[in-house]
This record gives sequence, C-alpha cells and structure tokens, in this order.
Amino acid sequence: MPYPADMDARQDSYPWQVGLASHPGRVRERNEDASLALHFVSVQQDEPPFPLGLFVVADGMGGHLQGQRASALACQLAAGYVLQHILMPLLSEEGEESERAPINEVLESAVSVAHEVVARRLPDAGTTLTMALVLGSGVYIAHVGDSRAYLGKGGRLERLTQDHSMAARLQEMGQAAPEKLDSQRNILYRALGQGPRIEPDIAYRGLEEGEYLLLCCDGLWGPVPDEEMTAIVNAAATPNAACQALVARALEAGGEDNISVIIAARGWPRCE
Amino acid sequence: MSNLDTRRITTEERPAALQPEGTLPSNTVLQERYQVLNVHGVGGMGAVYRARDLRFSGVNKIVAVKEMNNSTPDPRLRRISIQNFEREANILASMSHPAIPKIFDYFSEGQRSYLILEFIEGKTLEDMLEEERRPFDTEQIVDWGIQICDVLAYLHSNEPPVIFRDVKPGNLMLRYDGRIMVIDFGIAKVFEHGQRGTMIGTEGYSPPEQYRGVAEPRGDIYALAATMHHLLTNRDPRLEPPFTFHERPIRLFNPAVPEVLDTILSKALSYDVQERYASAPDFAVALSNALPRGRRGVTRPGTAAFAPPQDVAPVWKFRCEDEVRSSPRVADGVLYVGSYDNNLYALNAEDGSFVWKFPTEGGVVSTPCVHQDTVLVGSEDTKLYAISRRLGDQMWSFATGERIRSSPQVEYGHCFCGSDDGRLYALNALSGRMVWTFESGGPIRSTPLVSGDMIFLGSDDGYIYAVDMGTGALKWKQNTHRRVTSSPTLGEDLLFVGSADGHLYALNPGSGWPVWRFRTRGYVFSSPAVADGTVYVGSADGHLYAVEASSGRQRWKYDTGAPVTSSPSLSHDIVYIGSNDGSIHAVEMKNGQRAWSYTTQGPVPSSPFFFEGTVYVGSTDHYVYALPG
Repeated sequence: MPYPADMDARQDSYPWQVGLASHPGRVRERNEDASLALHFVSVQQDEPPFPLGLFVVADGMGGHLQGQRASALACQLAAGYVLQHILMPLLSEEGEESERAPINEVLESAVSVAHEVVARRLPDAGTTLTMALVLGSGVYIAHVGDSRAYLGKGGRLERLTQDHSMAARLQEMGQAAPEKLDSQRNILYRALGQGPRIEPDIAYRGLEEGEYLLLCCDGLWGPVPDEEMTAIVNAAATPNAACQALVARALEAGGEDNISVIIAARGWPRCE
Repeated sequence: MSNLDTRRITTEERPAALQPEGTLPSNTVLQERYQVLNVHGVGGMGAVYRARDLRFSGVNKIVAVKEMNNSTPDPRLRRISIQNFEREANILASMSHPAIPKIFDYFSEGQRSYLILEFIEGKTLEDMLEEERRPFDTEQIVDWGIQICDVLAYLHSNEPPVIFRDVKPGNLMLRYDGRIMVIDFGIAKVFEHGQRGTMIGTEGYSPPEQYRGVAEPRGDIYALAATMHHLLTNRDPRLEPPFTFHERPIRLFNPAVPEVLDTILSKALSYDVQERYASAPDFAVALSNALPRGRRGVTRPGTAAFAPPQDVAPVWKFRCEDEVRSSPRVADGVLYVGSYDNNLYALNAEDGSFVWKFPTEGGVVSTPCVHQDTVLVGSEDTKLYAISRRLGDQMWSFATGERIRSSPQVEYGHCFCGSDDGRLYALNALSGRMVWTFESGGPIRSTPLVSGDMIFLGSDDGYIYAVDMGTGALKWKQNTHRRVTSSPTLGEDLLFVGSADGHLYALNPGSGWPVWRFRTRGYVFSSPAVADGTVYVGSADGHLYAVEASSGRQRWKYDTGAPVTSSPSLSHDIVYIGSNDGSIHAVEMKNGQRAWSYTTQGPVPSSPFFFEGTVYVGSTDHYVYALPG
C-alpha cells in the first residue's frame, strides 16, 4: 500500500549510506593506506535531517613502516582536529548565536597540524590526504597529493581534486609524451609531511539527492578507468558492495598497489 | 589559528635538550684535529657543525664540518649518498672562485663521512625570506642575480661543465660583506625509496627538463630566475604547482618591479630550454640592463602633471545639483538614480535627457528598485517612497524611525527594505502597508537579498542574518564583529558578503556556516558579484579582487590606487567598478588587466550598472555618466 502523499513527504528518512574497503593488493607486503569514515545525522524540530560526515583516505610513502605510520597519523590528526573544531561545537551549540570558524580555515589548520607532526616524527615519510566533510547539503574537500575525490550520479563521475603529481602537471602543460609519464606518475610535488609548509586545495560543492562521493587512492584509479568505476558503482546494490567490487576489479587488474575506497551516497539508486 | 596550534605542539613534543638527535655533542674532536663547537644546521643527510681547527693553535681558525650519516639500511641508497658526497668533495676541490666555499679536507669515521669547509658567516636567503616575509628590493635582487650568474658562468665553463642543479634560496648565502656565496654542492635531493608506488620529488625551483633527468647549464638559469621570482614576490614556488611562474606575474605582487625585469625573468623561466638565455653571461648582461642607471622607474614625459587623456568618451552625462552616490537602474529605456540633492531622477537612458524628478526631504543614496509601474527608493528623510514611473508622482510612502540608506527589493508582491533604525521592513508593494519587521542591533544599510523563502541581509551590528520571508523570524545569524554594510549575493550554492572586518565571506545559505573567508587589507563595504565560479568585490585597501568561489583563493587583484566602496557590475567579460581615485575602471574578467578607465572630477562610491552594452554610473562630481561598455 502506498503512503498518502502528504505522509510520504513528511517522513524524515535518512538517505545517507556509506561503504568502505581497503586491501594491500597482490604485490605489496603492507597496506600503507589509511582510511576513515564517520557519519551521523541529527533530526531536530521541524527541520529536515541534517547529515554530518567525515571521510578520509591517505596513501603513505617512505620505507621501513614509515609510510604506513605517516598515513595513519595524518588521518587521525586531521580527522581529530575537524571533529574537535567543527562537529563538537555543532553538537554543543546553543541557540542561533554563532561564532563559527570558516570551514576552509579549520580544514587548512587540520592539514597543517597533521603536516607538522608527520614532518617531525617521520622526516623521511610523507602521505597523501584527501578529506571530505559533509555538512548538511554541502561537501567540503581538503586535498594534498594524488588520492582523489569524485562526485558521481548515474553515468556521470566528476573529479573534484587535482593530482599533485609530476605526471599530472606535465600533462596539464601538454608537454610530456605518454611513455615518459609512467616514470613520473608517482612523483608528488606536494605531499603531507614534506616541504616547509603545506597548503591543501580546499573546495566546496553542494550535494544533490542521488549523488555520491567517492574517495580513493591511486591503487584504484590507476588500474581502473573512471568509466569502469562508474559502471561498477551503478551495478552494485549498496555502497559497501560497490567498494568491494571496485577493490576486486583493481586486484584483477594486477593489484600492484594498496587499494582503498570510500563511497558516501546521498540516496542510492535501487537495484533491480 | 594555525600558528598558535603549531607552536603549541612544537613545544609539547620537542625534548627540552637543545642537542638535535644523532648529532655530535660539543667538544667532540674528529681526526684529532677538528673540535666541534656547536651544531650550525641540520639537513636531510646529517648536520653541519661549527668547529675549530686545532692544528692552528695560535689562532682561532673556524671551519664548517659537513656530516653525512650513511647508516641507512638500504645498500643502494647508501651507495648513492656516498657517491654524491664524494662528488661534492671532488667538485669543491677543483673549484676556485670567491663565491664558492673552499674545501680543506674529506674523511670518514664510522658510519659518517665529513667535509671540512671554509666557514661562512652569513645568512641564507631562505632564512632572510623567513625573516622579511615581504618582497625584496628590486635593485638588491638584480645585484645578487648578477653575482650568481658570475658563479654559474664559472661552473659552466669547466671542462666538463659543472651543473649546480640546485639553485634555490636555501643554497645561497649572503655574507656580512654583502657578497653572495653558493653553498651546498651536495645535490642528490632525489628521494628514492627503491620501491614501486608513490615517491616524493623535489619541487619549486627546478626546471622541467631536470625531472626527465636532463641537467644542463640553462637549467641553472631557470632555477636562478625562479629564485629571483620568489625573492621579488615573496611567493614560495614550493607551495605552487610546478612551472606556473607565468601564472604569477611578478608585477602583480610587486608593482615596483620594472616591466623589463619581468620580461627578462619570464624568458629565463621559459618551459622550453631553447627559449631561455643561452648562457649565464647572457642572462647577466640582460639583468644589468634591467635597471637604468641612477634611479629606477623612468618617468615618461607627458604622462603626469596634466589631466590624463581619457580612454573612452561618455555617451552622455547629466548634471544633478549634488553628489550622486546612488547607483542607477534602467528599465524600459528610462534610467532612475538618486542624488544628494534630495531628488530621484528619471532620465532617458539613450541620450540622458530629463524625464522627471521626484523631490524627497533628504539625500537619496539608496538604489532605486523598479517594480511594475512603480519605482521604489529610500531617502535620508527616513521614508520609503513608491513613485509612479509614468508621471513621477507618489503612490505611497512609509516612514521608518531613521534615515534609509538600504535599497528596497521587491519579491512576491512585497517590498523589503532596511533602515538606520535597525529594522528590516516587509511592506505590501502595492499599498505600502507593513506586514512584519525584523529588528537587528544596528543600522541596516545592506540591501536585503530575497531567495526562495529566505531573506539575507547584513547589519552594522556586525551580523549577517537570514530571516524567514513569510514571518520575519530569524533563521540564523553569523557574527563578523564589524559592520556589514555590504549586500549579500548568491551564487555557486553560496552566499557572499563583505564585512568591515576586511573579509569577504562565503557562507552556506542554509546554515550560515562560513565556508571560507577571504582577507583584504581594508573594509569591505562593496557588495560582491558572482559569475562563472568567480566572486568579484572591492575593498577599502584600493583593490578589486577576483576570488575563486569554491575555494576562496585569489585569482587576481586590480589596484585602483584609492579605497573602493563601489560594487562591481559585470558584463560577460568585463568587471566595472568605481573608486575613490575618481575613476570608473573596466577590468578584464579573465586576467584582471585594465580594459579602460574613465576619470570623473570626484570619488566614485556609486556602483556602476551595466545594461545592454552601456555602463551607467554616478559620481560625487554631481554627474551621472553613460559610458560605452
């Protein structure tokens, strides 16, 4: 029996769904990736549900367990900072009186704090860090390195981040022959824990009903082209199944690197 | 905020002892000859110490001891670092140039190797950049550039040529006598972790071909030019994508740099090796011609002293009895504008001929709003007027408690307008009857923005407010601590508004949460305008800014030379803005270059209005101008 129309409209369902998968791959001994997914929703008075989410993917580099530590540390510190400065104040806020810090500044500080600590504790290591903060109907991205954030809906998959790699840069310049790119692919010109200071790319986007966020490291986007990712996601019953299927596809393609992927969807198309 | 937190963590985590981990303690004696005095610096491969050469017992001969710790467990990496260290020793041993440190000795002890070098009293340019935090003086940089060219020419003239490969501020030292020394011939800053997967490379100053393993003299020229670019702009290339110097024209950050020097450095920074200067001496010659003898900045005859020639001629101009601070609006071929002479004028937009004027009892700075058959405007006589467009007579008026500087907006048959009495009024647009009011803590001069069921506005109490359109109930507010006279604009899912705290804010329209804020160096009374992912706004610091909407990063800024309180108006490729320098500036949207400007006889706080190919604007010289867009 269908609900009466007015009842349907008033029903406050929480449409957010999240999936995560991480795998060391077929070649590497260790998984140097770190990932984190956290989400909750608050429903108050007559307001529509207000979802909050924090999603992070970090891909560490550097020998002797250092890469692994760098990604884990960066993930923890950056996420901890955002929790402390954005999510906690939101939960403890009283009335409409607002002294809220601009989100880009909080995200920049979160990345800087992680950078300082990684640079000092693990001087020979570095890590990528791609972090998505969902607040209500908007998503905020902070990004360093060559992990990626995508925004997808149906057959469309739009990349929200730019790779900070030499290969990407040379390609932008339109100067590099494809065979030369391979040796440059993995050289980053910006990585957390490396260099004197860090300036993450920060971006804001509105999130529409039916759109999903996909965060992944190069272990996924390297071997699996965007169109294939889209097809796999569209065929999956849930975001979690989509993540599993994406990892399986990357392994099939060789699995030379660690593979990590997070999908956070605002509504998921029902699979027939 | 980030500085504070950074500092806190540093003190917490760094051990109290001043001795960096793994370095030699003071008074250690190496080879029974070099007594370590203190750590001078710590690099990637080991420390540099200040030491005393005991062989010269009669004098206090100070040397630099450069250490390389080769304890890395990776045999391949260890071999590479030892090779590099030996190469550095050999290169230095064969060099003789006053700007290259002398080498005295080379030896290994245990797992460490050492170079004994001339100790140079001075500061690296990197340290100086840290201290100064602003662009260096042009003449100074050109002088240093020429000095470094001389060393590079010497290195490149060796057989085979020595390529320095690592020119950067951290490897250049200014001695106390003013001479530049080139230090650290270690190179080998290639991070090779010997495994597949992601690696880290150096960035910033290196030429593109070096990433393909090509080292040649013109690469050093690129790196030197990159270093000079950093010193002249104070923009660290390590924080920017590689090879993007051309996207940061020097004169944008340091207008004191002559154009000719900008051109010379651009050539030296060419992506293509063939397009750079052929040799270090060629580069030096170009640099020495960059600054004219005596003082720089040649005054061309005939540019100053007299009234500058105008770039454009007005289509028409119309003289009011007093200043025109209000911004014009055009509808159906008629232009409406207020003046400090108390009148609202209706003029023929095509030729500027007079149609009618409506007298109020106070100055009209409010921007008129056209709604069907009426035009609405506020006056400093405290009243909001609805005037018949055809005849210029009053339909209704509504008195508020104070002067009106806010501009009315009409949506859904209702008129919304702020007043200096601190209230936002919602009136029936046909009758002028009040529907509700919303009270803020200070004068409302900002123009309300109506979107969906929300109204956004600023108040001089420092808050940005969102109010329910139907009831006037508060939805959210955000404090900026300074007056918000600027009017909000929506675009790209964000709400943009300026504050007297110097920032342009981007807020989430639903929650009021600031997404980012962009800092200028003056009040932002100007109201932002948005197009194609870019926000444009003026600041009392004299600039018109173009800021990326999604990130809050500056795209470009344009210097008008005087405070800007006018708000930008956009055509498809030009931004128009008034300035207190007396001009209306037309600026290219894509790059912030001046398209033209038109000078009036007084400051221009009025906001231009671009409509069907023409720019309409008022000036404090009492005129309303129509300029060809």
